[in-house]
Amino acid sequence: MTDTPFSFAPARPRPAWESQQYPPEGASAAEGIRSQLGRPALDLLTVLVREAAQNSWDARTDEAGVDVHFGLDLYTVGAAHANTWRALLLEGCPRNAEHFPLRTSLGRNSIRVLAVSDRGTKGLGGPTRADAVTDGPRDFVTFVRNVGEPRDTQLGGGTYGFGKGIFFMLSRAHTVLIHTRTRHQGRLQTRLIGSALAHSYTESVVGRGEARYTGRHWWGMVSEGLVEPLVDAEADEMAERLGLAPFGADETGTTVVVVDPEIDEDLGSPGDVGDYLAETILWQLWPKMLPRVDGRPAMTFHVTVDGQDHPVPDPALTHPVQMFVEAYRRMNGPESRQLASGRPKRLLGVLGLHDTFVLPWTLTRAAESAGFDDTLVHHVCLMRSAELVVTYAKGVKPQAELKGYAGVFRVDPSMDEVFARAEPPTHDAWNADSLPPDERRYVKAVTRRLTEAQQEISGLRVVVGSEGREMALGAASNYFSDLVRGSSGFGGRHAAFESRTRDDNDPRTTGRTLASRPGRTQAPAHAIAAQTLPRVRVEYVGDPFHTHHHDRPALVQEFKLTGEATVRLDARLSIATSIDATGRDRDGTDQPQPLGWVTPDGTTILGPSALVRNDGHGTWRLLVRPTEDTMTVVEIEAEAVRP
Amino acid sequence: MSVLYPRLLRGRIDALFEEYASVVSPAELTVRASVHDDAAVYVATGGTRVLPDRLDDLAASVRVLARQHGYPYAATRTTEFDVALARLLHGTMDIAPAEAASREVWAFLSLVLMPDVAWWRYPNPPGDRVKNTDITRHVFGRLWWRAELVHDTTLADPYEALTVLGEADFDQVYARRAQIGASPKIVRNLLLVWRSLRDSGELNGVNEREAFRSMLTQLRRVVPFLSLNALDDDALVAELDRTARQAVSAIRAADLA
Amino acid sequence: MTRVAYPYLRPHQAAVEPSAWTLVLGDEPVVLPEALDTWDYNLDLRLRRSIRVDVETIRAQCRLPEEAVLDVCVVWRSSGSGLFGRAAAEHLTEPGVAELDLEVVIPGSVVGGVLDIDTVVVLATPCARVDPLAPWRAGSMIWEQRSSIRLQGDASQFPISVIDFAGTSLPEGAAWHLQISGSLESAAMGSLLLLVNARHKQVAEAFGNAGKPRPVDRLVLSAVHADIARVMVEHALASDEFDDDAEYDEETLGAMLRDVFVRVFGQRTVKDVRLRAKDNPSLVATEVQAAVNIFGGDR
Repeated sequence: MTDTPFSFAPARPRPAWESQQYPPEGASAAEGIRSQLGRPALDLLTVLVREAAQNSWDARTDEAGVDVHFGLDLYTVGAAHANTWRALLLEGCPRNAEHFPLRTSLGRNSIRVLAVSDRGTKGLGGPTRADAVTDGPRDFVTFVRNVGEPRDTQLGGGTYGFGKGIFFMLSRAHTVLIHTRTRHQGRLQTRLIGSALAHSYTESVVGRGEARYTGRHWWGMVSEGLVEPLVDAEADEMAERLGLAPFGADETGTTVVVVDPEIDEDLGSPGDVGDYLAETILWQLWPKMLPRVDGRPAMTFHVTVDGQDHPVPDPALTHPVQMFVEAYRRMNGPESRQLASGRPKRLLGVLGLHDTFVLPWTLTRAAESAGFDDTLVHHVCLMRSAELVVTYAKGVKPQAELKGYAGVFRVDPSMDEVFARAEPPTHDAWNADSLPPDERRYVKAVTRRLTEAQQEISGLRVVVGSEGREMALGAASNYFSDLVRGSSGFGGRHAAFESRTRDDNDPRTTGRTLASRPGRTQAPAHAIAAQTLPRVRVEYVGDPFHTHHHDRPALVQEFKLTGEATVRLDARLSIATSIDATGRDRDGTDQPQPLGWVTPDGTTILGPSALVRNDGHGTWRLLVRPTEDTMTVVEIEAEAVRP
Repeated sequence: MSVLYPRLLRGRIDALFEEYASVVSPAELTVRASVHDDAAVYVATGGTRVLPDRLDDLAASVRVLARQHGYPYAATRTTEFDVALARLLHGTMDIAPAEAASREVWAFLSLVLMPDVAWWRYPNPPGDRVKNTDITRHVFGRLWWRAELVHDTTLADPYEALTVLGEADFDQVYARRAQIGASPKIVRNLLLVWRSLRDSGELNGVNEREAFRSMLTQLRRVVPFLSLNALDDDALVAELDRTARQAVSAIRAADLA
Repeated sequence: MTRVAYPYLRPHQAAVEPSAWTLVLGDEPVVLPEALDTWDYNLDLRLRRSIRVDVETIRAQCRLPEEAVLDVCVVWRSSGSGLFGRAAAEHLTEPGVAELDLEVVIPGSVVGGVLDIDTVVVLATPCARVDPLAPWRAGSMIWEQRSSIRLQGDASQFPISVIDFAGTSLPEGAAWHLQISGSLESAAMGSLLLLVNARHKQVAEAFGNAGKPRPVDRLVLSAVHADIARVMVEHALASDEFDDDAEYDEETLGAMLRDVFVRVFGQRTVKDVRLRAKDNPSLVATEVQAAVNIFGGDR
């Protein structure tokens, strides 16, 4: 252990700071870690609210009956506790305040802190040393020790551990206290540790000359050169001495105490700051306030400033956030529309749109931070599966002064990873350019589809309140049809009912013959017979006419037969049905009856069929007894047979 | 001024039907319900395209009605539901008959606008209930047409004739409508004639359904030469009455024999 | 092959002589065409024909009793709507030969597809069965003739709606607006709509008269046509999904835009035209004019 930077320090009974020296193989400077978030476009408080709440959401226990609660408490450390802070929290720290700005912060008259807490969450569990190998959670190590470690939470909000940087950025002391309670090795354990991410520096060390320090410092119990958190009774006792809110008996969760937070003076009085924080939670986290299936909100929130409660407004009742709540409801309901990319065809996500009159509202700081510059609402709230607000994307301006629309777009789970990679560390935008080319198109497609949907909603307003004019436009439509070549018009092919248009030979038009049906045009001789027997064809002579037979009405159909042969004649009779007379009723007991045949020489042959000798000359007759009040269909079949 | 409704392109109809085939419960389709589909088209001219709000309202009213009949759980009192839905669709859609004859319009309603209701009414539906194959079988289309064929705006309740026949018998009329060339006037009068026969006891002792079908068969036989559509109301009622009585006596004679 | 027989005697076809149907469009009647491609639901069909019915011959040849009442009716049936209806009914009360002028109006909203228009002579009321071969039931068709007209085909049509822009957010003074919504993959007939301002008399009238345009209507229509083509080309160029490799399914907006694009620019690539449009947008607009033959005499 002699080569490790901490090896010189003997174990001490009291908690103290340890400063990290550069190991020979190098390490990240504290500034670098702090700035992993980049230069956020949003103000620091907003970033903090978003990042912390995301982390809390990801850390939820998901136990039945346990709500995730997220709180922000801004307060001044009470006089009784302040001395403890000054006495204990400077122990072992670098002497130079430039190297360790906590000195400055604790030297002020009052110590200001922002406690960011979550409950109903797992707490920072797992081993406390980064080199411990475990299959279990590594939240403590990830938060306290490691730098920029990817998170593995499925469809989680904060894809990278960069988010913690905001705590140190917000602290003018670049220092936080981490107070957590978690299930560890089968029981609940409280842990308390301090952490600072200040500035790297060089300092002379007794007996070793100049030494370089990374600017990372931990406050806790030093053991084997490593700062370990205070645990259990020790932690509880220390928390009490520092005036930190204790955990309930079965409670788990984490409180990160940001020491000496940098609060923009423009925000005004502490009361105004409280309102700003509450409204920021409203604008940035409203999806988490909506009731879940069981009717409970996904997360509950509180904000206090100097003990004064600043209630977070109800999104369903607060204008104009309620427009987004309605759009969200539509996104999850039948009015939702699916946005898909064209090539390749992939479902990108679902969109809910709500357009309405926008009631007058006052533009608050929190709304400005959310991306609103005036009281027009024409935004789509973008989110991934975790349903945390990414940003409010501004769209086509509303078409009328008081009109507006709100939208909510949620990425399809299948696409979540792609969009997560498109987010900067602050998770407040989707940048297509940070993706490989084949994935860029998805992000671009969303932008495009959203614009289309927004234009459509403006376009749709076009028709509202304006009845179309009753004017036949068919001709005009045809005039322009060359611009939509290849699209189908509408017409007969949409006919709902099978339409059998009458043939030109319809008897009612021509008085002659019904259409012959395909495949049944003639009565040809059978194929085998055709080799040796002549073909015989029936040629009708006119339509059937009425006559009397034995004093009862009868029909006569005259016909000729071609081909010299012995012929078998068959009469096939039926009743026409349906309005086009195309149907056939052959089943009833009251079918028309073939009475018999009359040969060209006047011989009568009774019965439905007859075997006759045809010489190809003369007119034959079929005699039919029709069924009363029906239309009779006559078909004569003739077939040559061997004599 | 009639309202133009979206028509779902055929490829999309089959694709959606296949997609929904694996659905376990109609409730899963609630999230698929939408007022919009990329593969929906309109006839070029002839009316005003329906507004999404209006489609939304229509779907909402249908769901309210469905809820009264069990939705989203198993459907109850479906006959009553169908009659009420027929009134609702016909009374609110403002759709021209030629538009309503488009099977693709109805496919839009059953596959895009209200797949949840369609699948609730007919769980695991055969294609003809929800696709564009047969309007006389379609979950919504057949009801609109049922109302169109019987409604009479001169009555206090224009849809009073909806309840004269049971579903199965009406389906018979409906299926044979084209064959018997039945205009709404004929269908309406047919129902009235049948009801008055029933009320006057003429149908006592016969299987009513059998007699009704026999009447339709008779009608199919006479329409090749009788133009019912050319007749005034009185003459029409007289001919329908004659045909109905013939059918009933034929049934009685057959029963005796 | 079959033959059919009515259950009663029918007169010679020549006992009824109709003139051809004429269709009244605007003020001018034309002989009923086989197809009316200018029809839509808002166009009611007004038809006229005269008809000469030899009532005496009919009575004799059908052996009708004295009291038999004959009607001439016009009944129709539409394949598009599946509906049937009666458009006219006239009693033939005079003995001898009756000459009538029939005029019927068939509402556009109830028809579509192919419209069959049957002129029929029927028994208006049942009559006594004096002769077993005589027609006796009301509605018995004694003579009929069918005419058909196709109202809707599956040829392409451009979606148009005439509305009052005052009820919209569009500028009231504008005359038309091409609404293009949806992605290039969406169906063209669902995503394109030409809105015409009813307030703009000259333009709205031109659209109403498109079936028989006056010279001024022709100019308006041609100008709008060229403008629409330009807007479509610009829409295509502005969409970065529209490129040379893109393949669009039939009937999609993308396919329509591609078709117009190819007609205007022939074999030129999208990339090339896009660059041109950047450097010289007005020239591209002019190229569109030329391609659609603006104010061309042959349109």
